[in-house]
Amino acid sequence: MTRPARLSIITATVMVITATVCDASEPAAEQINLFEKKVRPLLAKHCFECHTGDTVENDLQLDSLAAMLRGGLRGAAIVPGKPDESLLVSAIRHGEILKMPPKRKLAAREIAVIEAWVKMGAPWPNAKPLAETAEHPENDAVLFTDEQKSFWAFQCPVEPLRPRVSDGQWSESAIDDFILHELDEAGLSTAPPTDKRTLIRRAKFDLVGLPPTPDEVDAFLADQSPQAFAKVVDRMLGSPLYGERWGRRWLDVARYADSNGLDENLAYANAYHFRDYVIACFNKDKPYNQFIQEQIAGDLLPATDDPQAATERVAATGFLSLGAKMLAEDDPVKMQMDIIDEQVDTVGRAFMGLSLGCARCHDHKFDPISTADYYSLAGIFKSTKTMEHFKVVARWQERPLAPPEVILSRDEHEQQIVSKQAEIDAAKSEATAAIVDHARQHVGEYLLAAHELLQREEMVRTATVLGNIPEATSKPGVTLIEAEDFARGNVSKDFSTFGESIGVLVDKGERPNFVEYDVEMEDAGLVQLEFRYSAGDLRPCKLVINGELVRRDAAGELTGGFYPEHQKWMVQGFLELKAGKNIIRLEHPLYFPHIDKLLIANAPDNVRELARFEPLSDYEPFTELVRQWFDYLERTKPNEDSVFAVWHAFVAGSDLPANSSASAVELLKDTSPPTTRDLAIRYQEVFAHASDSHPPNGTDEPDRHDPLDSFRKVLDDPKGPFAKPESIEAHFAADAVASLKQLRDEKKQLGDSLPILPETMAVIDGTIEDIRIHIRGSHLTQADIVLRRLPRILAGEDQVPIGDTQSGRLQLANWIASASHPLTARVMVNRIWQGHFGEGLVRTPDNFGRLGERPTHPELLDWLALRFVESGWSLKAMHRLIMLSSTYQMSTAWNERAAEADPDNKLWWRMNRRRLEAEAIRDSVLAMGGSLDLSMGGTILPTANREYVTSTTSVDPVAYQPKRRSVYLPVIRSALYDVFQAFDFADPSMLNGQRQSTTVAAQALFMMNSRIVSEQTRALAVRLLGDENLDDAGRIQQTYLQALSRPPSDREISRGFAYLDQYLAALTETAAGSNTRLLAWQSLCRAIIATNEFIYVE
Amino acid sequence: MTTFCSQFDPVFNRRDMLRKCGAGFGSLALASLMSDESFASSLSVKAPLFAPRAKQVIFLFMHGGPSQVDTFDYKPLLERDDGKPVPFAKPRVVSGATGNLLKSPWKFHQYGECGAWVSDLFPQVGKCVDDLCVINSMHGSNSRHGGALLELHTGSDTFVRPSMGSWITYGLGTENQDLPGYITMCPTLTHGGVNAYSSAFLPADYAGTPIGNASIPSDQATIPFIKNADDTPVDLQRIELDLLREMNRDRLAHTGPDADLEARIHSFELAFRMQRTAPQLQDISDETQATLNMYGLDNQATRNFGRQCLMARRFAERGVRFIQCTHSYKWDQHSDLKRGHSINAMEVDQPIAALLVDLKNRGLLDETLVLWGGEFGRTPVGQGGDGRDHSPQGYTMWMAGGGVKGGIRYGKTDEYGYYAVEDKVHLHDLHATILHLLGLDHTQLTYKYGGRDFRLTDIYGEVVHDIVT
Repeated sequence: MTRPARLSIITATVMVITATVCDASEPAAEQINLFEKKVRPLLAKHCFECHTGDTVENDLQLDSLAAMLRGGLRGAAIVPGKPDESLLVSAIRHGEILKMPPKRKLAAREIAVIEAWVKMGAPWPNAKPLAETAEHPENDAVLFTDEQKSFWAFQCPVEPLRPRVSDGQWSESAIDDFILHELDEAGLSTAPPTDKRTLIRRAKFDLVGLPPTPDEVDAFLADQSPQAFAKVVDRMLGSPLYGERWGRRWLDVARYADSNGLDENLAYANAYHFRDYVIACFNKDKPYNQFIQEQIAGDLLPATDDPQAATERVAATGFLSLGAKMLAEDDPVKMQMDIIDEQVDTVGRAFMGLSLGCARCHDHKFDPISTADYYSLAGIFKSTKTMEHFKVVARWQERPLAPPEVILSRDEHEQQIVSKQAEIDAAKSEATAAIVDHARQHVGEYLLAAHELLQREEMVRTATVLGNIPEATSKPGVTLIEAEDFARGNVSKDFSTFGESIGVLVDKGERPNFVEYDVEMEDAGLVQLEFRYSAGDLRPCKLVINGELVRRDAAGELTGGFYPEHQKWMVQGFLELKAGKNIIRLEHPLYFPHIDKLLIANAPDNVRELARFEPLSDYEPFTELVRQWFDYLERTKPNEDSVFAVWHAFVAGSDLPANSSASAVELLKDTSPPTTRDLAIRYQEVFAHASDSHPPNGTDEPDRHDPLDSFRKVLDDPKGPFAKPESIEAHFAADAVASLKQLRDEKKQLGDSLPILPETMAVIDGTIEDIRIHIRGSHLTQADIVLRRLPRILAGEDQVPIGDTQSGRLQLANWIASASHPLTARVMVNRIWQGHFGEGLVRTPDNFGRLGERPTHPELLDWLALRFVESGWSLKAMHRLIMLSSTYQMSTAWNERAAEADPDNKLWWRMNRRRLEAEAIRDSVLAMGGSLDLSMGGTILPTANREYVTSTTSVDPVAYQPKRRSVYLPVIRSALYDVFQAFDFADPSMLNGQRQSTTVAAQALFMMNSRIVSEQTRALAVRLLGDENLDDAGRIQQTYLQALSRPPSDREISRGFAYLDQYLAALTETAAGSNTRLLAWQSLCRAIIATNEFIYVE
Repeated sequence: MTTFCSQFDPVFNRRDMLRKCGAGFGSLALASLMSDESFASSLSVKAPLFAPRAKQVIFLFMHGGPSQVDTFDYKPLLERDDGKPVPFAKPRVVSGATGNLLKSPWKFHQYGECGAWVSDLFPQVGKCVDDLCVINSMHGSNSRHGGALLELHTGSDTFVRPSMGSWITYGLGTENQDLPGYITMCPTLTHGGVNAYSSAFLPADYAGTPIGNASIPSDQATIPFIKNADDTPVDLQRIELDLLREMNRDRLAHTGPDADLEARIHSFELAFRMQRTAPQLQDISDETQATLNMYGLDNQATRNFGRQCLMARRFAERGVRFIQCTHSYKWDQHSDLKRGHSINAMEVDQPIAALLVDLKNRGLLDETLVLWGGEFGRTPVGQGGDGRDHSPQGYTMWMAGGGVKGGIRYGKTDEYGYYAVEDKVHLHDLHATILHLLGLDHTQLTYKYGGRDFRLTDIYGEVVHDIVT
């Protein structure tokens, strides 16, 4: 095998280093000994398999000192004398960057041997002087060998000469000449033309995927004109059913599915827009080159005035998005690279028949695609935004399905909502600031209130838990509320999962989770609030009473687990409620703990009688600010420098800590206040003084020696006691409330009038970047950056740089879709040929590379490719061209001699007999029963977008009952519809240009036992029996015409009669009373539909 | 498309045979083609490459990831250092935040002649340790259910690939032509679902045939379409199939020889036999009460998995090549480890022990490889108060029968049971070893698809010869 040319990315710096270190003097004897006895065997055993010879991993050869010094893509393998700087040593130590050998780390003593060897200068007996080998061998070499460049698939198609053939009469077109010529050469002849009934049946299944109706057959038989068949073909190509049939074939290539599959199987509930787009493109015969451009770069094409076209382009890029992904990959970088890989591989195989994905880990072993080429393309997709984020569970991007200007105006509208929200926030902030500013004048009041709260909180800890006392809960004045009986909330109720009859609140997906309870009180006063809940994780909730946040840590303790036995009553606090209606609100950013009940009782006497301070003024402290003061004081208690050290010492009755801030003490001590209240007043005064003497902003630096400065810091601390609370809206002044209401109304109006645009999976350009080659495909081992560009074997080595402003998808799309691309047209005409004949001219439709098969008729392939481009990339023209050939119209007649010479029918000596695909089988069975619903488009997936389609309990929610054409049934990866599964539907997780056709028992069981076949054959029998114009012979005839497009022979009619008699006789023994005649007819119909003749197209 | 592998060439295909014989169809009497005896399908028994130790595999899959340090990997130091930080680095990629070392809530005891330590979660399986080859040094590459589950079943955590059961059936065919060669009972539909038993690009003959799924109790699970939607009596169905066969034969006489048409005629006969055999096999009224009790069918907790284990034995007896039982998605104890693992182990311990004993008593254990394990293990460090996170770094699976050494442990994790450190066995190695036990060389069992050869072990895998008898 010739060595595929590799890209040399070795840098000049590496060369310099290696040149300076390698002064290869001959090693001493003991060094030779070490090398030969220990080092070389280790290298041979563990490294040489991948790092010697012609095709080495990452260009790194390890079989000579020179090669080691020259290094590979990552630079020199060793730095003689410096093991710690040597890549080889770091790799065998399994360092963070590189781990070699990748699978099994060497033993410690083996690593030590290599380290010792490098340390002693890497002595290598008879090492060649570096100069001889310093040049990287590929540096000057051509990138590709002649053999690689001359590979057939990389040459543009050339107009072939029409060959001479034995029978000029037979040829309808050049197709026939090419086919007949090869048969002539092989000494074989063509099969006779097929009869007209078979031909129309073949054409209908080919183009539409359904059997022809008896009327269609009759009309064709009656049409004796030479154009009769052309008319049939045109009529079918004009039917919207054509797009459904051939669109589905493209959907196999596009690995279309309605769910993600693999791990977290989320619904791609908007993927159907792509499916409908594909069907529409086939129906309108959108030029194939345009079809390619739209799927790869629809978002980047020049603007269009046609809103329909603009919308289609958005849906088209779903092609890049809808692959299967590991949405729960813990390593986000790996997830992104895997998604990019899937895109590169799909684009390569779908449009060009190139297995580009192979070059992710190593230079392609067979095709001239290097890792550098791969990562050049990967850079294009790295610069493309497919996902919103890569956090588990990752979220794919969707875009509005609308023309750009509609999206723009929607975005502007959304922006207005955002601005309005900003106005609301500002108004709230302003009103809150007014309250807080006023509060700053009343530090003393807050100190006293916080102190009261502290005493109450201490009593909470020792309070009697009333919920635990059965008789307490039935006392008057005690209110018990079931958690699920909330007045307002956005959570669901679950009564079974976490204990029978224990209703808990479960997340519905709206954030934050909240519930509100309306509680009527006869009198205002302090109450004791308790919750009964279980929590295996910490899930502290906000507790808001009448609009004021009173706790951030309600139900905030662990109870030992989430299950019923972990349910515990816990006192949440002593709280002030007012007379009349109170609103108690609980809120959690994500999920609540499992709260079961709430209990409200009058606070115990000792709590209510707690000494209360006489207020300093008529100022009413705000609960939320009191809570902040409380938290701040608790937080600063251990801090001896705090200006509140004096306060803490005083209320605790202890001495001042030795280190307490001298200046603060100085400011406070002179009064030596006799009471807590007096000290509070003193604090208030000092704070007021500090506040008043605030240095003007921007003029003076705060003076760190000014004792008042530490007081000012408390006032200004964004996390301090006067931090702006989120909202104390309940206390806003009337005018603030009014203007807020107006702003909110305006926002609501904007929200209500926001146009709702359907969304679809789609990509756009993201952050533009070039990426590094990933050694062995791992993002943990990266080599040099490669520029974004197209594969060089095809696009050449001199490419216009893509630049920093665009991803390169548009360039990629235009290049693939160009008439001069040697593969694009060939790959597609081959797919069309295969769709008509069962096999392609290249029998590996997704691989035109070295490991793919060679075309059986290269000239024909080229001729078709050229006609395809000439026709303006018209698929319908290609169908017409192929179907009107004599080759297509041959019969399937058996020819023993030909079969022996060409058992695989590679020369096309007859038409292949083909089994129908899963969709055509199901659709035809439905058509037989007269039940097929021919409405087009839309979705019948019952699962909401991004919801799990198969839950963790493995329940499959998808119902496949509707009678829609199979192309519209949901395609659920990892849980495929069992009818599809049985009949060789392509695995929708990967691109597949050719389905298998197996014969397995499950298919027979489907025909014998399934509900669909039973229902449809019954419907057919009912219809036959209900037709009073027919006698039984006529009914048998009708069945054959409908199912098999031909009348029955006399023998078949009499056999039908005999069968009905036999079946009826057997029935009367077992099924007396039921409609035996219907059952017998149903059985006959089922047998006919189960025949090979029904399911195999001639 | 090529549907036959290159090096291996096991698929005895009628079309190929005729081609090779050079006889063509004309010289063979059509009647003889119709007899089932002469028909060889892609599922026909194929000779292994070398003498196999095992004929079939029963895989007991514990979906969710049972904890190794609470079951079969006893770590005294974990108990000693409970609550301390783990003294080495946690993996670079983890699926969630974890805390300090968390000792096992269960006591361990030594069992059997080999004296293996097994926790109180598996007292019944403990009694079978002398038949078990416990691999303590399993490791994989993916820390999420989906990826890990696919890696365990198919060898790839990224791409859709044929499952190991498919590879095995492809390599060996199956002994009983009246039953599918690869059966998976109550498989999960999550975390890759069908992809864990699909044949991917191998022909559909080699796909696992599901019996129900994880949401269906095992006594109500059936093979798709095995039951007639109208409950048509069998004799009537036979009459119908006779007519169908006659019409198909007429057609074949008309078209000339066609192996596909012929295969399809055959498939209806197979389906007819299968629909008789499979329900018979699922009808366990011929088992003694003692057997039913042994499998725990008399007990609400063990009934569901017990029936799966009993069915596994019945399928194994009848020559099904690969049988999987799934204890679905229950072992994922991020919290509530004590309660969750207790319930899970209770549901499977007795049935699994019963299966091992029953196979042994019937002389089937020698030729049946039993494999037990989850998609990964769990961290020896705690998550929340009473839970463990996923860990593919080092965990335990065990094998029994089928040519593996009994009463041994292979490989080790570190002193706390976090990382596999000695005689590490990657999932690729496990796959290579399973194929080896079945007489297949994992480097030779290839299939050409999309222009390249694929194998279960990709480019990796080494047979763990030390555990083979």
